[in-house]
Amino acid sequence: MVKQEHQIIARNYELAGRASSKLKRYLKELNIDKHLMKRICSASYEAEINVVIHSVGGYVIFEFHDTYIELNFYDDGPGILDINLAMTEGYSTASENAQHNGFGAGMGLSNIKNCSDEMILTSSIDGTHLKIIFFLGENHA
Amino acid sequence: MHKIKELIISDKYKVITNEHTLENTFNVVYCCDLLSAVIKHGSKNPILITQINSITTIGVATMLDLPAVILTEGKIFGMEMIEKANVEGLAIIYTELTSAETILDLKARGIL
Repeated sequence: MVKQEHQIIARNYELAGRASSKLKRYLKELNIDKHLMKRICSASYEAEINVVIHSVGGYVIFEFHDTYIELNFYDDGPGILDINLAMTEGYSTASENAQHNGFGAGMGLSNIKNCSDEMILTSSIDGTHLKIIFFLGENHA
Repeated sequence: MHKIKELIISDKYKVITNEHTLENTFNVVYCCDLLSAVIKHGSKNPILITQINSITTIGVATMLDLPAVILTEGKIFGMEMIEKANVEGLAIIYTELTSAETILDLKARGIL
């Protein structure tokens, strides 16, 4: 199993997507199916942007297993008050600055869910953990 | 299937990335200023028409392997963003048209 860890800095749009770019580069080296790669990269970018926009900062751990790829995004708060509401497409607490950068439309979490094979989201005032899993193999492209 | 160089026959458009990006191909365009919506519809590898001149636009476009971004209403990207697009093989096209005018123009020219 290969494991990579990357820091994600809050409010820094210049560096937003840096971890996901590295993920994409590694997935290209692995020569995985292009459609699956697009699903993984889309979910990763959305999740990374969420940490940039909504948290005080965090990190991501990418795990590459033989049969699946797991992405774990952690941040240090302030947490999601109502996860069900946050999962509703169109609901957003994003700032005007996030919207100037093209995000904050309340589509991020639902995009991540649609792109992934499994998604688990837990949150408290101490932070949020988003686990996203993609299964490998012909049936999962 | 169209090539980016077909787009810039009109003097309303100017490619601001390297010449090799003119060979990028496309057959769909998607017009939106919400990047999450672009991610949602990115599987068909469309050209993105937008006025969001943020580094995040380049980030999403390269993440989705989009062939080009048409930046409308005379908006421009910084040099750092153009360099990133060049490295990733993404064409950036400048126009002073609005997004709606761009779509109408492409339609009138038979590109859409």
